[in-house]
Amino acid sequence: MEHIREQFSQIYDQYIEKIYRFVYLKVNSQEIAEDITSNVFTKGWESFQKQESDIKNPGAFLYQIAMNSVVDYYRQKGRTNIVSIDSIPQIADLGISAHDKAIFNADVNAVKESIYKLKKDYQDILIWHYLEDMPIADIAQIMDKPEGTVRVMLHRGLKELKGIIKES
Amino acid sequence: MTKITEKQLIKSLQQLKDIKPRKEWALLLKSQILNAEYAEQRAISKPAKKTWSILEFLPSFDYQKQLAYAFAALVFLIVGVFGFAQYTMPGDLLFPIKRIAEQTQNPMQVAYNRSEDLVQIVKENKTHNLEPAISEFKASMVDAAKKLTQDLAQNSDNNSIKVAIAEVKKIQDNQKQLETLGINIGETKDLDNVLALLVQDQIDTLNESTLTEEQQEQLIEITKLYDEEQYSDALEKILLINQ
Repeated sequence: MEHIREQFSQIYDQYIEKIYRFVYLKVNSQEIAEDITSNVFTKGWESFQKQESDIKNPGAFLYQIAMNSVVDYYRQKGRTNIVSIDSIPQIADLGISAHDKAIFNADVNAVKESIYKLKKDYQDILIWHYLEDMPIADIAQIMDKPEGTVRVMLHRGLKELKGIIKES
Repeated sequence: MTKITEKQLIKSLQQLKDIKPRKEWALLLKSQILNAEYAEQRAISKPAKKTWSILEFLPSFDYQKQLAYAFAALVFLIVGVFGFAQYTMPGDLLFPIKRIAEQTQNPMQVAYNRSEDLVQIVKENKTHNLEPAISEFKASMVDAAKKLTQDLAQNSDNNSIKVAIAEVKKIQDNQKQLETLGINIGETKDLDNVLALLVQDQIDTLNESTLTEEQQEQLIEITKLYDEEQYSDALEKILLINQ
């Protein structure tokens, strides 16, 4: 048991920032991102104890839970992926250096807000590939799509993001 | 923002890496997830009633490991008790365990062990052990006599007799030592009876044999020792004639 706990502890340290960031960019709220991320790692830990040996790729496993959790969140919320006007000042008030650094940079903030408006699949691909430096092959595995399709989606996602930024 | 190149866009995307969770929140969450489950597991593994259990001393292991360690501790305990019991004397709490361990030994050896125990008890003046030790010795002599009868019935050649005599002599030496220490064990006739029968049988055989003059003199001495109930000495002389 200690062995499993130690393993999951390492996985947690390795992925907490990545999962939080992934969720945050999809929900655009620190509070909600923390709730969902907490849920992701709680579920992850429960599953990890039961089927440790079956989890070959903990990152993919956690991202899968995160994706489902975000979907569940929006389903429960009864809303589509639309920017909440109220969320913008909340983000500005975070008072956290890492956030501030990203948010007060106009370009970066524009990208962040625009990602939020993207289609879910494009969001996932752009975040994984450009933020988390995940290879196309790994993304293809998580999304259960051919690598070629992922490449095309990456290109389209980037193009669509550019379009959203241009309109803003 | 109207114009942005793909390169700038990718660079801006990469800058979003600065978005990080609050450190204290991340640490708290980790602790909550890993320790909540741990606390829950401990609550399950604890018995409803407060009882002392060896498993409670191993809180950081899962159930299977706890069982394995408990089993290892039990084996260690049993081995320890058996080991410790080897140094006990008749009348001690753990002496029955020593007796169990001796069941695989030859009853003659066990009888000798009891005679050794007696000598040690007397020397160390362990008065409370004396009476149980004498009883144990007498009981062991009965078993030894039975075993000797069985062995000689199956095989009464010179070698078997020689081994039997050596064992009996060792016990008799201890008996003599006890007598000098002022301890009278009382009658231990069972073994003597077996030896007497054996000596009688050997004397009868020698009487029917053709003996030299020297052997006839030795036979007279043997008969005399038999009459004096010095059976093991008589047997030693019989062995000399048979050689």
